[in-house]
Amino acid sequence: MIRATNLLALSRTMLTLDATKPKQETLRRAISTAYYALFNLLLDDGCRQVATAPSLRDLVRRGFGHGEMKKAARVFQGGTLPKHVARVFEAAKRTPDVPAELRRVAKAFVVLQEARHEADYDPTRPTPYTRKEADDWIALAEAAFADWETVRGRPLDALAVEVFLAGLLLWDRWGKG
Amino acid sequence: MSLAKFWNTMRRFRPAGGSRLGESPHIDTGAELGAWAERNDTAWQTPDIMSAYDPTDFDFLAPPEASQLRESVGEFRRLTALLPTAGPDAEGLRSDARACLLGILDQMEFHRFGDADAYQLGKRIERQIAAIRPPELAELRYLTDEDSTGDPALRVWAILSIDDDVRFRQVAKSVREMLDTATREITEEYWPHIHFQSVSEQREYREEALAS
Repeated sequence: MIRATNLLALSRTMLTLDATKPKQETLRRAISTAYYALFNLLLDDGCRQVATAPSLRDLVRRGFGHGEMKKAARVFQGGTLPKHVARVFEAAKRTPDVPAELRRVAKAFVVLQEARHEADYDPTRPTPYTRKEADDWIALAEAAFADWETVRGRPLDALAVEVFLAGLLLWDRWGKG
Repeated sequence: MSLAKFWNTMRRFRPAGGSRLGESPHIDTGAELGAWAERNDTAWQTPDIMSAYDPTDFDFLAPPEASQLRESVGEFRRLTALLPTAGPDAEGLRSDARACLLGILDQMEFHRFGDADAYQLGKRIERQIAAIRPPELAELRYLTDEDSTGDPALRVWAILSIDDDVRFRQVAKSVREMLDTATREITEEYWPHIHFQSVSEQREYREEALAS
């Protein structure tokens, strides 16, 4: 069991590990962990939406892919959904609006994924990581957690959240409509 | 002609050091041309190196900047065209032409822009945010690239002159929003990836790098 909130807290704790100047490895791990916190937060709710049995949720979890999630998130971040996705809203007699909080979550997911990729795989990055930079990425993840909490708890936005979570899992298979 | 061609030609003459985006101090180009130009001392002394310059490629610059560049290029062309027949006046002409070239290199700001597209996008972004740019935003640096999944990315380093963590976080949040919005208004092609650092942290790392 991976708790997204624990990962988020861990990312912040990492920033306090070195009293004076944090090591590059610590900062990289902190940024990576911040992304994984958000990744797991969305996965938890995505799996819960698809399956009720815990063992099935574990299986569904494996179906999510970083790249596909990013594609979906990029579209939701922009706020304009493709026709085949917008139709879901129209069928429910709703306008296909993406709430501001959801757009911010989607945007944070995309940029944090890239930050994580850089932190984990790019040793030749032109500039060293600094504590403030890592702190900024973690703050972005924290803000995304808060936004997610808000939008997920708002009944009016339940459909948008549902479509977003489904999109994270199925975006490629939905094709272009 | 293309901006990229002009950019790449000028890049050959940039001063040594300060070429790696993100870690470089602001280099005073008033001192020397780059090592390549020094080794090939006559290579820059021709109007041909400005052949890729087309003023219409620089319509994204603010009018005073565009005009300064146009004048510097014009003057450089004029001076270097006179060189072959200058006789005893050649040294003075050469010195003036060199000053022109250094001025052009200074305008290209190679320490802030990693490539021609980054230069164009960065300049547009900076014009867009000029009126709302907070004073704590000390510098912006840009590089176009592909992200981890192959999508075009504009990497932006925003350097803030703030040491206080809370204030840093507040300003970083608003600057992120500002840069994100400006980038999306300017280009649909590139996704902005914005990194924040502080002036003091940059200085610290730079001193460490120089000492090692």
